[in-house]
Amino acid sequence: MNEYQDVYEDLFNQNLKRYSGLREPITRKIKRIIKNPYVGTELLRNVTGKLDLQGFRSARVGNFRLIFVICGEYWKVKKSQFSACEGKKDETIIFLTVGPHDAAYAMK
Amino acid sequence: MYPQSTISHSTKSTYLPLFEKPTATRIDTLALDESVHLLLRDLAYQSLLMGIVSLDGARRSQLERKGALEYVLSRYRYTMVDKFFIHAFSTTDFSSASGLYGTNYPDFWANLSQSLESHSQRFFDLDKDSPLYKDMEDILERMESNQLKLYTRAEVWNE
Repeated sequence: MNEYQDVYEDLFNQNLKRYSGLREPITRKIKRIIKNPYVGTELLRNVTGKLDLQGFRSARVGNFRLIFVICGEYWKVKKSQFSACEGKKDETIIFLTVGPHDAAYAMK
Repeated sequence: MYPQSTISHSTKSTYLPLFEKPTATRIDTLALDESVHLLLRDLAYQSLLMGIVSLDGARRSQLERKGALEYVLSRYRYTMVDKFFIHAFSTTDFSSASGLYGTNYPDFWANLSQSLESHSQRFFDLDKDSPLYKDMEDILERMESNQLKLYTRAEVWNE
């Protein structure tokens, strides 16, 4: 199975530094996602709030979550391209952010 | 380590190549999303071994002890799948099948379960009060104005 190509948004990079204690488990999770991003991950839904979160995926790392987008899947779900995917292969994963889902675990 | 064959020559000649060792490529192929049809076919044959299609009890237990998976893998290469097998797939408890063969074939079952999982959609609802929700607000705003900034793996992980 071919691995996906991974790229990272600035916010992900910032949060990775912010939660540097979780670097190890995050790395492990990302390695798994790159092998098969559909396994052990969930699609985000538009349930609350105003944001259109369709086409994005999430994966759990302890009390934290990664949010990412698979360019090929976003295209299929939204029938439009995620702008950062322009010029990239369908097998590109953009890791957008990482952090606690619950505000209680957030680091100020 | 794969088990050695102890099945009789007559059985071998009927189902050759019975004990061909599954290769890494083969296992990998089964885990591909595109290989769902192959996967269903494998699962159908596993269901056959689990008794949905009746096999002689002694022979089945012999197969289960000594290389049942090779038997399954070799059989599906030579047999067309029909709706009956697909039906068998949908009615079988594969978690118990996994337990049965998992000891000898952890890689195979890991790939198989991953493939199965990849075909069942799961959803996550991002809470509006979550810090991640705010992150996504920021990202989508910046996406609108083409201000997303991307880094390579090497840049992020200092590789």
